[in-house]
Amino acid sequence: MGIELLEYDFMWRALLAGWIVATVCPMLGMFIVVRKQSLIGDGLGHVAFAGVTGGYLAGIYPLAGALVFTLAGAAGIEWIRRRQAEHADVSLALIFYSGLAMAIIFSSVTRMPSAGLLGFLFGSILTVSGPDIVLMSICALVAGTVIWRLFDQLVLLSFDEDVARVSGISTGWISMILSLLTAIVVVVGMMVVGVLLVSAMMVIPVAAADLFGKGFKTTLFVAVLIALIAVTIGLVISFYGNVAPGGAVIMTTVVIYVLVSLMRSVQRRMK
Amino acid sequence: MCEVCLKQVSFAYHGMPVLDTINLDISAGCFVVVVGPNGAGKSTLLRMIAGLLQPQTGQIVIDGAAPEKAQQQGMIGYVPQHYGRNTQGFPATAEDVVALGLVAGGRGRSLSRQGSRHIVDHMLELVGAERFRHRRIGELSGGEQQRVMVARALASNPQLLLLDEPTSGIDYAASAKIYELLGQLNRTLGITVIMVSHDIDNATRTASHVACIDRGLCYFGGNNEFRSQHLQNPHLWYYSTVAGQGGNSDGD
Repeated sequence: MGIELLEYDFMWRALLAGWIVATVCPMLGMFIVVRKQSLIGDGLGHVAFAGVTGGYLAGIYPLAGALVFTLAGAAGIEWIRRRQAEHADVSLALIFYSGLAMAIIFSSVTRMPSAGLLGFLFGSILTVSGPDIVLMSICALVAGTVIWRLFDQLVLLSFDEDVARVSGISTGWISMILSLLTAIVVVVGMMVVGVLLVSAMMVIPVAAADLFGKGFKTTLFVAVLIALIAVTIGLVISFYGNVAPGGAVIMTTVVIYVLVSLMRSVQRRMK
Repeated sequence: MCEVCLKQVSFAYHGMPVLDTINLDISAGCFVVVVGPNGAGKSTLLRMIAGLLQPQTGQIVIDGAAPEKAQQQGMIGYVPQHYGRNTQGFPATAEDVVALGLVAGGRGRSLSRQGSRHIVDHMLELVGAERFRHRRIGELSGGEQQRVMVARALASNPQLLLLDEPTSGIDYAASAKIYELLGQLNRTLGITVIMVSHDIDNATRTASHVACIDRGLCYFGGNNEFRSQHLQNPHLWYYSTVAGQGGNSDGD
């Protein structure tokens, strides 16, 4: 059964793309979740959708359009958050709805084919091309390298922003870098699970890994492992069950979360 | 060890003055407890010394430099008041949290993995937190969490330790242990300690000096002097110190 699946080039590309996403989404998601900004991925996903339609309108590669829009949106969210911390949720809503409204306007003007729109909304991992993989790999490499270089500072910033500042960390810059990385990862993840579910790929594996109650690095490692397993199982289900891959991947992640939750609950009762 | 000097420092929130031309000269190695009623500006004073707030007038100098420079050099160890909301659910063990102290001033960059490990072990031992080092910070009791937070602040090898109500929400016995620990660290390591507290009894037993803030003014004096006045007027201690002494004063 498994061999048949691997006979197709598109499935290899899909698996590769999925594994890239499964690695970078929880890496960023870890910081987003502990900073209680879980919805930022959703907000930026909608901005990315505006970028896709805007890119199509301007006649450029839609993913490049998505990247430009999402980076601008992420910088905007962070800029408002720093100036009006008490209205951080409003800033997110502003960017979120502006992105959605722009996407609707651009798509109506360009008359973008609905198949293309649906691909970005729900993910189109089975149609991922070679250039897409290259772009995703570059984005993932940038995100991974920055996280690796700034890891300790990002953890301290997520733990307590004031303590990070007193420790000599440029919290404004590091927060901005984190937002921009989130934007990059949203664009990467969008191709696999779609705009509507990219946030789930950042949040659910981290939430499941968190149930084990381990330290930061172990939780991060387990989150990536859960995401890799979910992507692999989800794609197999999608191939044989003929269902949308984005949905299959996220539902697999949810099932893993529920199973881990039950397992931990049983373990606690047995103690 | 480092000196902290506040010269004519004022601060207001939305036009409402909180601190009014405060002068303080804190010598190296002092243990200062900052007391005063709610909303007096104790935390504001501490946050200004930490470089988190800018005074609207006046100047703060830490060992001859601005607080921002002291931050970059990793000179300041800071334990905030509301760390609890961050620790609850944060996926880090006690030793992970202590290791975060090595980020300050880039100290961790110059250390090998073994060196970092040694410092974390030492800090955990110093505050008596080895037995719960592998437990998540959010699972610890208030007193245990506070010990870990102090260990984290100490891991950066600070010359100035700032603590904002480190014993709030902790029972009397645990509070006394934390004060004892801080006093010991101050005496043995020579770290200058400035601590905001409502626990007048424990705090003044441990501290060498008291800064009492009320209605924008600050009285600063030796511990014994403050204790004798407070005991004479236990219900009016803010007035007996602040109003009675005529407001601002520099040093002892």
